[in-house]
Amino acid sequence: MRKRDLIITSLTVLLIWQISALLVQRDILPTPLAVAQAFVENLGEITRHFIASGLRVIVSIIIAVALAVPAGLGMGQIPRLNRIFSPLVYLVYPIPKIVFFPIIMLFFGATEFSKILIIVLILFFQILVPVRDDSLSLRPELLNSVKSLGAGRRALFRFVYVPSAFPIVLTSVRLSVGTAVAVLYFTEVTATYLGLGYYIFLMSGTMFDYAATYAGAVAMGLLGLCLYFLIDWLERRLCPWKFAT
Amino acid sequence: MIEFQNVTFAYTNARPVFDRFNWSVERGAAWAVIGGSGNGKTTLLMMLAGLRLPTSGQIVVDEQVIDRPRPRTGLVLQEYGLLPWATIQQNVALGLRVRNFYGPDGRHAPIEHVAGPIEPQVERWLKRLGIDAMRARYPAQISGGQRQRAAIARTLVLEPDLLLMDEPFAALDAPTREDLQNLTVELQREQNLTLVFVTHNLEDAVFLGQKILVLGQPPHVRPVVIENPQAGSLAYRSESAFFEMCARVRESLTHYSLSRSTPVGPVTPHA
Repeated sequence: MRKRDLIITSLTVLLIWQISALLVQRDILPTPLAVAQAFVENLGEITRHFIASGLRVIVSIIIAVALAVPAGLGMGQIPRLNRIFSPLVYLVYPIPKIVFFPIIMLFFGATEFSKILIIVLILFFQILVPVRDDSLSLRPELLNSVKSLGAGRRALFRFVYVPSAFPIVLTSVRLSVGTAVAVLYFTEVTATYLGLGYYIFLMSGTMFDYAATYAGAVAMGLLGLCLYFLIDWLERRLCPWKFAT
Repeated sequence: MIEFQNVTFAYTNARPVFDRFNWSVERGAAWAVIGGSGNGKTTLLMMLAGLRLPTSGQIVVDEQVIDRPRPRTGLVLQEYGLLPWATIQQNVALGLRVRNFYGPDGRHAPIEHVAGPIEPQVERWLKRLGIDAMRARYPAQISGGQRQRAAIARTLVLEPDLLLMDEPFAALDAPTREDLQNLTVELQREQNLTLVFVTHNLEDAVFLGQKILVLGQPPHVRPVVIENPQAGSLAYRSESAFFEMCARVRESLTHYSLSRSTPVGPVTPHA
């Protein structure tokens, strides 16, 4: 994807928004210019919420990766583990874990822990399953030739399984970013005074400040976008071979 | 060097591929193993490499019963043996890094292994195989022939005394294949290697194998061996004796693939 194409697309979206706002002529659809103005006016406030939300989602992603990657590699490589846990994963995977949020709140209260826990719970399975399947699909030729160099299970993890998992981990995290931010919004709407979700909800439902509501939504979009860029950057660092021509 | 002692191998719920099979390979010999697909070539090699265990009987390499990969046995496979995420330099260094990872424990690395700097040895083998200009590239960026050179370098940097090769040139075009055949002959002599080269290709087998083990229709009870003393000379490929030998191996292969009777004609069973 080229930078120029991204810029053209962004400008087109803004133009359509501007035209729609002018046509609709209602205060619940402010123009991009008004939203930009609100964004700048409330920059301090928005930044405060942005950082809180960003930390929550990044910490959640890190914990989910730290738990799901070893679990996925273990299940992929140790058949006994896979036999024991696969039925459980199969049953739990399709359940929309978000419905457990009220229950988690009953147990752990309206805390940071509850918010992070629900995001981790959702991301865990979205990372676990592809990592497991990917490590099951490693070619036996590759494993045999590395074993013939003297590698036992520990060296196989160090030199084969872990580096082979980088691309699939990054891909599954990239696919999970949208979900993570959506769940984040849901957790921040209730029982907190910090976070973009709270800010958006407050500005729309209580303050009726629609330009600021949109500014909050834009900030949330930027958060998702930043995470995307971060993952792209990590991929270039960790998987240089995918970009070699 | 290698002793197959009453080796039986059968996949679950199938008739045996090897049935009390005895076979021996002397140190420094160059053997080719030829046979059609499904005839047990790769099974034989995997057992020899310690990656698959016989159902009964045992394989002894250098007075040691094989029950896991042996540090001084090198293995080169047809494809996919190189780590796609590592550069050629890193791939060639892999075996040495694995050895340094474990230290000289006699299981993963030879007892006499001294953990030390890897670069000089890796550099020497990259140069010896003519791939030093490719050191920073990834396997997907170089040709099939260069990939096989890297796979060979990665194995030889560990100074093996036994080299096992499983169809290593099957995916290569004819000139590259001949080039690598020559290289294999040179390296086998130069490093004083015992070579077991598994192939379905007649020219590979006749050019490289001073003795050729013919695997026809399984189960294999007695080894069928063709003596091919002229193998290993670079000129052999264009001599008429070479083509006669190819015809003889083909005939034997056909014979044993169609029937399981005792050997007849020019074929001498090997004790």
